[in-house]
Amino acid sequence: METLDKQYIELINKEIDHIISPDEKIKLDKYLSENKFAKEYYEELRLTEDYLDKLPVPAPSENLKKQIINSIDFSKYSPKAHKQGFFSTLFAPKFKLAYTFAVGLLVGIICYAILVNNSNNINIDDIYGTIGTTSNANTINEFPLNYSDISGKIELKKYDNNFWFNLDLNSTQQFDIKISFPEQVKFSNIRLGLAKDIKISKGPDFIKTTNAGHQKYSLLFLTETSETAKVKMQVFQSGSILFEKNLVLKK
Amino acid sequence: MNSSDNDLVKECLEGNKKAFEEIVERYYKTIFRLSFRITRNHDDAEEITQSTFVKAYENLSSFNFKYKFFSWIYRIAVNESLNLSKKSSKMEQIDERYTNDETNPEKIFEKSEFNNSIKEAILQLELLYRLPVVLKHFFDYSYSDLSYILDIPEKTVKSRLYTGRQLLKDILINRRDLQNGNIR
Repeated sequence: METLDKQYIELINKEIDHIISPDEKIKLDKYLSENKFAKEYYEELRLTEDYLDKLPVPAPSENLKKQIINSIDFSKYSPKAHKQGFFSTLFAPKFKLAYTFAVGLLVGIICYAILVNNSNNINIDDIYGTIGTTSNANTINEFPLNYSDISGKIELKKYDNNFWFNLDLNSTQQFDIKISFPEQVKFSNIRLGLAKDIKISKGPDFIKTTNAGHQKYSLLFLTETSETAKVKMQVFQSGSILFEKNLVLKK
Repeated sequence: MNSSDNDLVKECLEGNKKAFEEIVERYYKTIFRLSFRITRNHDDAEEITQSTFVKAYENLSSFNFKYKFFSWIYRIAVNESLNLSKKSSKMEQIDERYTNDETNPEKIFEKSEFNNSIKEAILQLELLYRLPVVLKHFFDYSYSDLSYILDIPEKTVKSRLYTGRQLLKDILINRRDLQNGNIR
């Protein structure tokens, strides 16, 4: 059986595909004129191609286009989705990491704020000597104390459920200060700033300090209720009451 | 002035339904013809045409504008044809209903015999070879376009095309159609 040179098979196909160059065409024509088998092969191939053209192709059904349109869910690229371009961009996956970080940061801030708000242990150093400068502390009351040889001032401040008395007093003779408080109020701490030789006694509903000379200190309390609580301050000297003041606290 | 295919694709992606309808209008007949020439079955060709446009719409956002849109959608059509051929043996049947366009009974018979010979010969070709033969012959794509549509190297396109043509010719000869005068 005769075989064709591979290069001429390519040239024959190029001729059929109308991409043969003039030089290749000359070369092919010469080969075909000299090779009967090749010529027959070429003509059969051409004929097959020609008859392919004659194969009828039916028209599609009249409603095919409608069927196609009806089978497509056009919501994927709906105008609504694209008009929300800003939000689409805002919630794009590429920002996932940034949002995760932001959410983490926000959670951290909230947790910190909760911890700070719920903290029962205020740094006393921030309280004493910073009267009026603690940014979040409110001064509830402030009054002078001038009785007998006692002079000075008392300040009542509050921060959330913490409140404290800042006392800055002078006296040559000994005197007592008693602060009585209800059940929902607890004595928390004392910050002895310039206080020396202070005697402290306390019970479940009171605290008493014995003072003399120049004393400057703070008494810290906590309130555990959102209701108002009444606190009573009394100043005694030589068994006599020199001063009494009721103070109302509210968380 | 008619919008280019790429402009229509962009409009589709911006949510313009009408733009895709225009794409369907432009290509559904061609896709149908392509599918029919591959499958030789009217119903299958319509099914392929429909699924081609559904797939095209679903994947429109992945269309690469550096390619020609029609090459891209023909590639989908070819894949849909291949998929259908894998799951259906219907393609091996010949659809007789749509081929007769003659009024003379003798000619109808003659032509029908001839057409059937060619159709059967085409269907005897493995899809591997049938696809390049059909795409090249009926759509006159360049080897480069065929390479993209069929997702095979250009060298393989040529090899399969040349082999496909020769096989088709040989099938016809073996059927003695070329010799007995049905074709010659």
